Amino acid sequence: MSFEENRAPDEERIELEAAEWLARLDFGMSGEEQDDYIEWMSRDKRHRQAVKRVQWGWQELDRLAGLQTTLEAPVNRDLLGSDDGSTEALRWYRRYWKSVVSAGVVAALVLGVLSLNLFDGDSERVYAFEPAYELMKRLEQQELADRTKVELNRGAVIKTQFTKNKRLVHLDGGEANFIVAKDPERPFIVSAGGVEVKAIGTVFNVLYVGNTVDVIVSEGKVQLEPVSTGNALKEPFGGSPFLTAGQKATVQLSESQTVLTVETLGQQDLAKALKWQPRMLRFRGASLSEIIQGFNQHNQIQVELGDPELESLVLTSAFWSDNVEGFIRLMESNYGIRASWVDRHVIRLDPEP
Amino acid sequence: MFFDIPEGAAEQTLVEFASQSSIEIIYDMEDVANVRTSRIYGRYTREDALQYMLTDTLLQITVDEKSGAIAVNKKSRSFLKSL
Repeated sequence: MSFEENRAPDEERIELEAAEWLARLDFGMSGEEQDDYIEWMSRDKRHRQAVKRVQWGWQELDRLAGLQTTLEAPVNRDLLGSDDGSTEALRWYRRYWKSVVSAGVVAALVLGVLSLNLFDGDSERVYAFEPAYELMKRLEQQELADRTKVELNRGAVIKTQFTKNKRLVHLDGGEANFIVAKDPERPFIVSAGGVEVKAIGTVFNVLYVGNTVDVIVSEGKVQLEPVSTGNALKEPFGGSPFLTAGQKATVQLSESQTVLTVETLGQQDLAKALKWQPRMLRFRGASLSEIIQGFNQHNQIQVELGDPELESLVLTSAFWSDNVEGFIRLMESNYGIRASWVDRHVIRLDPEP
Repeated sequence: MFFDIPEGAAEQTLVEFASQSSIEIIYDMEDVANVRTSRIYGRYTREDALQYMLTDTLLQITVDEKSGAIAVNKKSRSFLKSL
């Protein structure tokens, strides 16, 4: 099985996909959809750039529409570069653009399906799916200058800004888990969207996708605050609430209002929320399906057995949960197994013919 | 890396090796059944340590170059015939 990347998608398609994701973000996404969004973002740098471009375009339209609402006067037509400067026109334009984008995506998908039927030759081969190779990449672990350990989920981007008085980390998007080195003189702050998470020495997870910031504390205590500079919240949540171990805060960063909810997670929910973090999976005298199940519990990529004959393999193994690729390669090279993609998230193992 | 693993049944000693080295490893229980590995004591690289343990056995290792994970299995029949 080859793990090489397929051809890169073209720029126009990326732009359409970015707009589609942002439109879906507007309506809210499920956890699974958020995973897919992170996966898409992490797949290609151009995806992240396209999201920024489309986001900027829509924010500009919103900003101009907002100007008119606030001032109760027509928008400056020069700003728009259009003869029609009404707010309604702007809203219509955005709706129209989004619908064009959606229609474009649908059209692209339809054309994609048609091409599958039309082109079956070697020279024009079109794949039924694009395997999610990016989900096979190992998760990144960093040690910051203060010895804080950070685990980055796929697609997450952080920037550090350490001074004498504080340790500031910007999470521009995605998910990261922080095991903070103790330094009472310099609080450790993670800034994500409109929220700052302040800790001294603790373990916590931040997920920033779209307009939502989730904070989960595994050890110790953190304090939530609206950011002090830059894109501060228009309506910050009241006070600066503390979160303790086992608690989860969700901050919705909508334009009109900011909603903060805090809940206490049970052990199972806590483990489920943090299952993306790499863990050493140890099995002794286990069947192949038991080992695969261990990987499947921690990954979006799912592995399945195509033949019950493989159940007879009894193995001892110790693997990091994010090393699906290495595991499969060794299974192929040592145990007479052939791996193949079933769809973009599923790999099937069969005995070699 | 410092290793201290006594001579013993491969089923047990390879588990101990994985624990001491934090290496990713996989092996078929059938391949290592009734195999005894040599004692290692001292500083070794992880691969060298495993090679020393498997001296005089019919086991070999395959390293996944990208991740460093190791598979331990029986030497192939063609290799054994060549001896």
